[in-house]
Amino acid sequence: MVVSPLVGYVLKAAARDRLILSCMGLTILGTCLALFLGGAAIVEKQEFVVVYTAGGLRLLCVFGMVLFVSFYVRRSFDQRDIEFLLSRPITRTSLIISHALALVIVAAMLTATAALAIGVLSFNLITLASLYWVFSLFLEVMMMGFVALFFAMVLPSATVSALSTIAFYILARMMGQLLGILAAGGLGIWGDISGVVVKFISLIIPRFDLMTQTSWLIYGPQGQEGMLFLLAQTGVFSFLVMTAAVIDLVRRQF
Amino acid sequence: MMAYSSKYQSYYALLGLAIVMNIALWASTHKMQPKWPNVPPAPPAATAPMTGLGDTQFAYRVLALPLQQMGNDGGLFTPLKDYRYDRIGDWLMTLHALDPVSNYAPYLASYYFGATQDPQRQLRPIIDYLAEAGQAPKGYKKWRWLAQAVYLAKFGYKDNQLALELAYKLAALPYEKMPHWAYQMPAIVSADMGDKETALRLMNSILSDMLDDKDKVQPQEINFVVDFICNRLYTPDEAKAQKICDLLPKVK
Repeated sequence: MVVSPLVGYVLKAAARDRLILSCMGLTILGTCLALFLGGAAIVEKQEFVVVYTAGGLRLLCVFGMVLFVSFYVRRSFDQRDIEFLLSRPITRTSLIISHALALVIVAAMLTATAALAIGVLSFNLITLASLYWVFSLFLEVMMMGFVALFFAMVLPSATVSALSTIAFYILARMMGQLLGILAAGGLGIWGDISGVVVKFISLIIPRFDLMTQTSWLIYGPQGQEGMLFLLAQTGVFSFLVMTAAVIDLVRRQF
Repeated sequence: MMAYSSKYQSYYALLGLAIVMNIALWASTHKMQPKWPNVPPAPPAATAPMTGLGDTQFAYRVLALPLQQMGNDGGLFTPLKDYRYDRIGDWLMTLHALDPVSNYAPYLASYYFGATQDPQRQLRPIIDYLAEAGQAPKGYKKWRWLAQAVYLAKFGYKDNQLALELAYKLAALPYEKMPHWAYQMPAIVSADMGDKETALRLMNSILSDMLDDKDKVQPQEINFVVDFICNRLYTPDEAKAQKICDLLPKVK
């Protein structure tokens, strides 16, 4: 199923695009900015620095992954790399699965960079909850890589697919608040109608608001975000989005 | 060469015109100073987590730091008496909904916003907030913010009835390790003791409690209490006789 040279090909593309290198550079810059901003707080300076760094690095990892995948896949189509690869003895399903495995490795590298920065900043606060945050970040970045792969396969422009994936991410991050507002009620007739639409959309949107909370780095996990939830959501949603990507590629006419 | 110059002459003319227009615009705008339109309305607690893209702790820190700097940026310095404290109270309540455990917002409310020059007009929202913050979930040791609310109600807002109500709430908190004075607060307030004496006892007890637990208390908080005791409650001569005042850095 997995074609090792193809995995290496994607990783070389990531290296050629300077993805990890630029993310490391931005991690240093972001950490310095967080130190500067957090230092202005009247108390709880370290908590401010850790939260700002963690929140910023989460966005950096996700956006880095999304931009890389969107432009890499579109370039592969435009330069007919995909057609060349499919002319070899590789099935379309194998092509997607190999890409997915490569994205898992890229997600692990991006997460490791963020984890290193958090570890250096908050070595005295590191607990099991910190590892929990890192693992959750890895799963979140990985899933966003899969979503970006799907949108890049389906949409005809790298810019449109990157923007669509980012919009998806923002929606997934806010879904908890939207459902909470709906549950509170009192929105009137139009609110009820849009509530039905939002609930329908939420069927296929992962609850990222329950993942990678920066509060875990300070207080530890406190809600319903258990390890089982993280693994179940990752498994179920990844299966959905990868299946959709395979179906799109299988049906595509070259 | 001449042909080359004349070919681009019209472009240079346009560039010159653009520069002149920019200078003209600058002439009318460079004296405009940033104005602070006072405290903006606070985001509702239900939608505030969206500021951090669903990450409530990130939203808390992103919203809290600007509250500290509000009114004092862009070269502006605004006295606290000019702030809209009703809105400050809303901001603090939103922050409390995002993170009832952090000590940052209560600290800001007590020691920064609590120091307004017009306490009787402005302090009520701060006191209401501190009363709320002081009753956070058990196990987080937040009673001292309720004690601050009592103090501000009595000596800042000068409402003995309110202070007494809050003092009863403080004494009724289900904490196991509150100091004795917290339980005696209703009696202290009821007796209507003098400002300095009561405040000194309160602050000394708070300081003693903080020093017992100093690994978990921010050093800035301890510094504030020492500074309050030595520079605001004691006269300079009294302060010289107090050993605790030696802790303060000497400013020349």
